[in-house]
Amino acid sequence: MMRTATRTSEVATTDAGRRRRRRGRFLLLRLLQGVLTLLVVSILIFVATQLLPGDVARVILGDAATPERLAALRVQLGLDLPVHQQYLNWLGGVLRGDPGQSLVTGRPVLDMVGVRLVNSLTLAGVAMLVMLPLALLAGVSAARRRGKLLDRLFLGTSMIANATPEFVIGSVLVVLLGTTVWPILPPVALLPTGQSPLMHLPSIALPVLTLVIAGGAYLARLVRVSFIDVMSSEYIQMAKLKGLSERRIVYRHALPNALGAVIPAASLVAAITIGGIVVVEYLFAYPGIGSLLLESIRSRDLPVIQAVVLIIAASYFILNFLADTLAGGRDRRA
Amino acid sequence: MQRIAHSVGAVGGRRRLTTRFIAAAAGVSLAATMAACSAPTDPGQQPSDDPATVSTLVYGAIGGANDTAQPYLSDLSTMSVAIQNQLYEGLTRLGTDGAVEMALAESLEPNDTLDVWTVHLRPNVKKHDGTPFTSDDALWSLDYILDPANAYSAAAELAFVDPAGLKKIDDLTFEIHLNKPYGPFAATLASFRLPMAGKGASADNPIGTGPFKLESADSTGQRYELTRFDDYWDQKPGFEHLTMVAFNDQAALVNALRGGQVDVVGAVPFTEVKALEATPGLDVLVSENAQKVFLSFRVDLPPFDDVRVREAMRLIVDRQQMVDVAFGGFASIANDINGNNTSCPPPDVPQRKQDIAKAKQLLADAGVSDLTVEISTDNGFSGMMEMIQVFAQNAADAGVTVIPNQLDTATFLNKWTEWPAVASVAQNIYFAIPTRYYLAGGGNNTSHWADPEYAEIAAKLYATADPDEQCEYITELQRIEYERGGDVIPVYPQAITVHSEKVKGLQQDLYNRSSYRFNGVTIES
Repeated sequence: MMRTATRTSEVATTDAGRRRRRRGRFLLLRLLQGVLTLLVVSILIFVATQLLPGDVARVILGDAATPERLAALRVQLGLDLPVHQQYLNWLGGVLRGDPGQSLVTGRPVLDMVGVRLVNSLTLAGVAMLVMLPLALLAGVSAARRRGKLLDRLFLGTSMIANATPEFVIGSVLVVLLGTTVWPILPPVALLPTGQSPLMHLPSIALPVLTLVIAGGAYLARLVRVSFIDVMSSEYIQMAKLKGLSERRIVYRHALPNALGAVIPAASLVAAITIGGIVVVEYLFAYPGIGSLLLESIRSRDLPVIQAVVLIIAASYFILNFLADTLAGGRDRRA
Repeated sequence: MQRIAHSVGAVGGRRRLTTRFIAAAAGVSLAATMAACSAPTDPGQQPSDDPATVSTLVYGAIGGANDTAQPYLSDLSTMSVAIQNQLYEGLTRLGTDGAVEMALAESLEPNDTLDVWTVHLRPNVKKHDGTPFTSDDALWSLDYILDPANAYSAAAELAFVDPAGLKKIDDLTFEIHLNKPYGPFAATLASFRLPMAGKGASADNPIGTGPFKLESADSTGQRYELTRFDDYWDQKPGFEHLTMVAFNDQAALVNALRGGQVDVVGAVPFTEVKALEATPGLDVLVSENAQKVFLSFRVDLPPFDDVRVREAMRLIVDRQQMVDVAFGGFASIANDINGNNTSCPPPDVPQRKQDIAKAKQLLADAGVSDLTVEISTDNGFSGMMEMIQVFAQNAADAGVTVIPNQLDTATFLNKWTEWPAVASVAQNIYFAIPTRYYLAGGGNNTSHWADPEYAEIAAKLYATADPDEQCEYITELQRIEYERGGDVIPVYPQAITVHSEKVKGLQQDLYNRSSYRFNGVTIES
């Protein structure tokens, strides 16, 4: 008896250990995969910027550049080095935690990116915080009225919102709520020096609303489908037969299960939101990494382009990883 | 204040600056002595510090993360020019009417051969750190500008200065030795690209003598907070705080103006002016403008090496349509001469008008009846792309196919002066025009024009300090530009500043500075 118990516990311990090790290996593999992806992205960006016509020295010196001054500046900026050498210098810097200096302003890239990254994350974070409950509410409400007027209205409007680019949604909101029709919100997201966007919520209302409409419509449709699936599942039918109240069925049984399917999707929507932020920041002159990326591409400021693209790529990776992990967890539960 | 509350179409009723200004000659040479006595503005006009007038003005312009408060940036956005104008000043400057005035210099005296100039600085001018502005500061600034290691592109404007020839005499006097005689030195020093800064000035230590000093610049490069410099030597602004906000997009800038988030904006798109004029609470200020956009064709390549083809291009264009369509009525008709900013008499030549039949004949004579030309642009200035489109429409009537080629700035600059045809821009005093635009090796000589007679007269222009002689040469140079130059200059666009009606005292300005010249400007509460 005693021996059997020990053996069982040993088996359990071994199983748990094996699972932990498998999970550890999985995480390590995904991490390696992530690092490799970022490395490939950085090489691609480097090659792409080399292929773009025009270099940063030309942009810095403008139309009054002379060949001598261009040559001198290229030497100063290290643009005269072989391309692979430039890349390795940059990579070496990144590995030491120093992504270099802006070629245009000479300021450390970390300084230029730091505050803007916080601003962008804040904008995306606030948008997600608003979007998730709204999408849930809209999706569940539509699902519960499946086929009725409200549901059809929801399907129609969410389809339009889905199909409309963020740039158009934002521009329409500016006209509607910022400048012309009913001007109640600031049309441009200006932030006082050194202050968090959270202290100026009206200033970021329109960019948040744009992201919420763009991402929320998609997410709410997923919630609706997922909720309809769950509501037609056998165990919900069983619960109904048992005579449980509808409220109890919806909130205790259906919703948690529907959420399981939606949460990974929400992570993907968050990833899409980070991408969409480039457009929204530009439209509302919001000082985030998206507008910085556009400016640095315009001026061919490679270290800044690299830093911002890697941040966006890393965010994608992390959020996708999160989505995969959450989806994996749900599968195991099932 | 010149508030322009007329309807947009009423060009005739618009208040204009008097026609042709004095940038050229007037000032120049004898600027030296004559200006010694000119304190440009009346100190009696200093606005009071009455609490009622103490407030903040928010200025908006195109700019962004690449702007800094460094005095010598080669790549200048509108925002960085506006910031520099608050912090720094030149030895000389251009008045609102374009005339050369003394600024940090009290006088400039040349020797007889015009190759050594003695600069006497204005006494009792203070820098933002409270110390006096002296020869050490001015010489440090000139050294910085000329040092090839700093790769400052505007050093080209002082190519005639011997970098080893900067000699301090005393705290308020120094000499500048030149490589060759140069007459219009005072006018050249008035360039906005040649400001003087405190010794050791940098982006992090922007010490100048201007009407505002920098309090803070946020790390995103989007926002600058400035306060009035109360020890400023000239006319002070009538408000205490200035916030400067950079926008990376024209649409956002106009939206911010409509939404009341900014008080003053310069250079709004011509297509927006009508709507903004009709917006309650906003006023529009229109100025004649020395900044001009034009089309430039390479005369060293066929077919534009044939003067008949160049003449045809100039006859193709419907100048009135260009005014009305490309610039929304905010432009005046020009005559292919690069200069609405000299006080010299224009050359006695007829105004060119559209003549499609003659243009066709000239093209046929030159053997290029089925001409196709691609015009490249980065659309960097309002109206550029529209100008090419109107030209393309006109050209089609003469059987010429014009293909607009819009590029991003870096791509466009990558082949600067190599494109066969471009939309270009000039914003300089006339003295800078021949060197930069029409003489061999000029950084902006997009047409590759190298006319021996033009070069000979230009050399005489630069070698004299006599205003009458200078005018004679300028008129002659303009005659040659008209006859055989490589540029089509159909119109002179005006400058548009839009501002809150509470902002009072903004002035018309020939060099497009109306939106950020705040001397004497007040804000009504």
